[in-house]
Amino acid sequence: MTSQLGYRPPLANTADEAEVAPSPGAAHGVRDGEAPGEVPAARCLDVARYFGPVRAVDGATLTLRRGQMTVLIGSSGCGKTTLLRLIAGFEVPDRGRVEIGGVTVAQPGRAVPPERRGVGVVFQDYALFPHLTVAENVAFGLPRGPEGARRAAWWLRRVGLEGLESRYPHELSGGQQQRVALARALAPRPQLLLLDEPFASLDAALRVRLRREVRQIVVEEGVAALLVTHDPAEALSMADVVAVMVSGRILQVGPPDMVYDQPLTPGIAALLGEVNLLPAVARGQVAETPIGPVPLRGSPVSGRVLAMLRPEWLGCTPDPAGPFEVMGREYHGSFQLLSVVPVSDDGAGGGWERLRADGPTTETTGLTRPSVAHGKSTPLKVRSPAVPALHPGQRVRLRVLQPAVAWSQGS
Amino acid sequence: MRSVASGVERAGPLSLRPTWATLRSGGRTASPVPLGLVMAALLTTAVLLIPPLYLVIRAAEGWQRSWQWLLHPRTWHLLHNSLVLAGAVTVTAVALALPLAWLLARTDLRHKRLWLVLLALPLAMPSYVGTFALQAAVQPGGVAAILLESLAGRVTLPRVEGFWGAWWVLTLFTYPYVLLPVRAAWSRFDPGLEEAARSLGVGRARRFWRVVLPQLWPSVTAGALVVAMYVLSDFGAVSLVRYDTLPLAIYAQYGGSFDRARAAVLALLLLLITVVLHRVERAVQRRQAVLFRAQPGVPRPPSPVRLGRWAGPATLACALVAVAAWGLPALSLLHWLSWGLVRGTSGVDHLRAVAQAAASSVYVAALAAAVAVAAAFPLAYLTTRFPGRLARAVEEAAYLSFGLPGIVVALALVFFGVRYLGPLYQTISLLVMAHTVHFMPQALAPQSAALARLNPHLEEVARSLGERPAGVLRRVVLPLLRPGVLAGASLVFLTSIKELPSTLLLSPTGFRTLAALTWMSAAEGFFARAALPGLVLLGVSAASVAIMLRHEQERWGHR
Repeated sequence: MTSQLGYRPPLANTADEAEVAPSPGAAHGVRDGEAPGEVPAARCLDVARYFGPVRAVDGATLTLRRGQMTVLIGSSGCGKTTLLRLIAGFEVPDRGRVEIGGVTVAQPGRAVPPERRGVGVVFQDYALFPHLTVAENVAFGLPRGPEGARRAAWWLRRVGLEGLESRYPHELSGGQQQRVALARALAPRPQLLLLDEPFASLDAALRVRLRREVRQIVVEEGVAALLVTHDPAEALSMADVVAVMVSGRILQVGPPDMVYDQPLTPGIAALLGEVNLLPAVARGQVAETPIGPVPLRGSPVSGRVLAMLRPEWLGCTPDPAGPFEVMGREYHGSFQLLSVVPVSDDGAGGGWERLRADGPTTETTGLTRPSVAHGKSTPLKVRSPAVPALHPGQRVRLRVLQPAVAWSQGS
Repeated sequence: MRSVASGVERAGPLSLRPTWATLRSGGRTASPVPLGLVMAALLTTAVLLIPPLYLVIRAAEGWQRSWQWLLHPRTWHLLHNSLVLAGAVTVTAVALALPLAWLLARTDLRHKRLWLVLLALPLAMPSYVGTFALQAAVQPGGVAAILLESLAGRVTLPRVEGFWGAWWVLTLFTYPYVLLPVRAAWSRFDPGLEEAARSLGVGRARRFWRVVLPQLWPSVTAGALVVAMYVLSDFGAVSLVRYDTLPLAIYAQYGGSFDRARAAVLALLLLLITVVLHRVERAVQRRQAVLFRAQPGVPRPPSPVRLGRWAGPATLACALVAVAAWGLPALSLLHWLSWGLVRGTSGVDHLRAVAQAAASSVYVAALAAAVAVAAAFPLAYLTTRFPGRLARAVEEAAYLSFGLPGIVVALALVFFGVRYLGPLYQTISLLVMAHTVHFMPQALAPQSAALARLNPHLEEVARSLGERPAGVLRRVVLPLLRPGVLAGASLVFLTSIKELPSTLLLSPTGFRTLAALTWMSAAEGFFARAALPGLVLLGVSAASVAIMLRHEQERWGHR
């Protein structure tokens, strides 16, 4: 099968170089918008890869678009790295198809080798060639000669590493190594950039800074990027599109806020942030939960459901007569994360049992009278502003600030 | 404008290629194994398997005669001699090595590093060089004889001959195989364990038996097995002291009557014994690796035992062993060399012959090193990069030929060469092939170690940057592998130079290597003529041991 593939070949001819070798100014405003009907940069169609009895990737479908940062998130061992390796061409699928630029590059038993896919890869360990200098590392995928050297130098400036050209990788800090790896992957102008947990081995402050820089570069260069991570903060802050992978399958794809606010399963919800899960009985837009009636988002449901409230969807105000009591407090500087339980009759915390016996409440603004449900002894997590400080033992009143997500418990 | 879409026009044709999924071995393989690699690895393995397999075929062909020979009393006599010598040497080598290891590992003996080197040096003594040097030392006119005469008047020293001679020299040249691993294990030994035993009320003697010895046992066993295999394979020493063992009989059989069936049976017998011992040794090593994996916590350096007034005798004991094992032989070689120069027997002709032999040795050894390193690469690459059923099978098969006695390899290649490689027989190709097969492990181990340390992501990144597998090999893998390749090549080179039986059996007529020259002169009693090539071989051998020890240290981390 031969066809035109939408990527710049790693070894471009001289006519290309004149055009491709960019001036710093040209780096801005290059973002090609995704036109409707445009050929996606890459697609995985029902891709599967088995290692003996282990189904690492088990029918994953995913589309990557130009100028978009797609973040693949999943718990460790869910197959996300294997999916990345399938796209890069380091693995061959046992089922399904991988397309790059509309052309099939892999199907069971047949594959285009990685060197002909034009896909840039940044590994968690950076995999810089230890026997080559920084400049030689970046120039590895470029045509040899002065032109390649010039482009390598341009890329080193682009990632802010001018002056380090003749250093060897072991003489660089972790953040610098990361930038070299990024420059090296982008220098041959791939259509597609794959990043496998690229920030995992950096310290927290550097990680945040590099996330911003990498995102900016990727957006400005207009490549399609796939970043694999298990860190929800990384996923939500960097992604144009979040894809959630569970047990070898992509279960949900969407903008970060959509995936965060309307997760398709409790598992996805927990993967992306803290959750309060409450058994409840739904009637249209409201559900009766152990802590009272809670408004629901999305289309109306009825019957037994599992309701989910994120900690910041709950508000908390001090009230000596409040029906809840603070059990614990985690101070985070800009906010506090509180563990809250209903008050029992004897005045101590842990009053879930009493709640069960109480009747439903009619109040809608506050959760003063929790209602019948399956009691759970897990405290509620509430995220509230750091001031006023609320300490264990204090009575509080809870408010639902945003409607909950409900999943029917039919099965 | 520089746009991403412009890439579309420039893209070349892109075609799917079949992947060798069918060759994928087991489930653990990350990616399909390239066919070329598989073919190369299989070819190397096949060549490695020629000696053991061909001997079996050979013996099976005339199985009735083979069977007769196997049951012949002479065969049992040889087997008995071989086993008794191996057992005796192993026991004395361990008995000599244990106290020395203790002195070097756990006491406050001064200059321990220096003593370690001096006591490990006998490793560098090719057995035929050391044996004739000792024989020449006790000979009337030899160094030891002259020294003793000047001290005590006329004495007759016992000759280094027969069983006792073989026992004596082989013990002296093999004890380091026990000393080094036991010393290493003893210095890694966590003193906390002994203290724990003490706190549990266990006395000194019982502590040694119940805590210390079990920890040392794997190293002692491994070392003892190496000694036993060395003695069973040894041709040089037993041929010079004229003690009938299997290797010597195989050589005599080959040289004399050339009764092939008989030589094949003896070689097969020797092969079986060494293969079994090699298996056991590997099992012991593996178990050791499991048992003594790094324990949590940083081990405290053990506080050394104070020797006090025993320091003098301890130093003297170390010195005595070092003198007996290599001081005296080296001195003896120098003595005979100068004797020859003074008497004029080592004239220009002799020097020319030595130079010619050295050139021959270097030529063959360099070829063997190059071939071995090249042939080892596919094996090393396959087993480290594509672990799976195929790699395991290849590894096991290759392992079957490791540790075979040189005489067995050589004899098998003689048979094989005469029958199937007619044009190559009586050329140095067969000799190079013998060295390659025999010393393949030395080329393989450093390469595998270097490959195992090489991050596989490097190769993947290079591919994703547009480099083809051959280019990845050239630009990434080989540059990073260079130290391992060089170490392996120099080891094969140096050990090929000192290898004796192969060069005796496989050298073309008129082609004489240093090893052959030394052994032939020594066997005929021309000690002065054997001295110079012997000294050169000693130097070569010392260099190979130095490389090997450095590698060993890397493997164990610097300790």
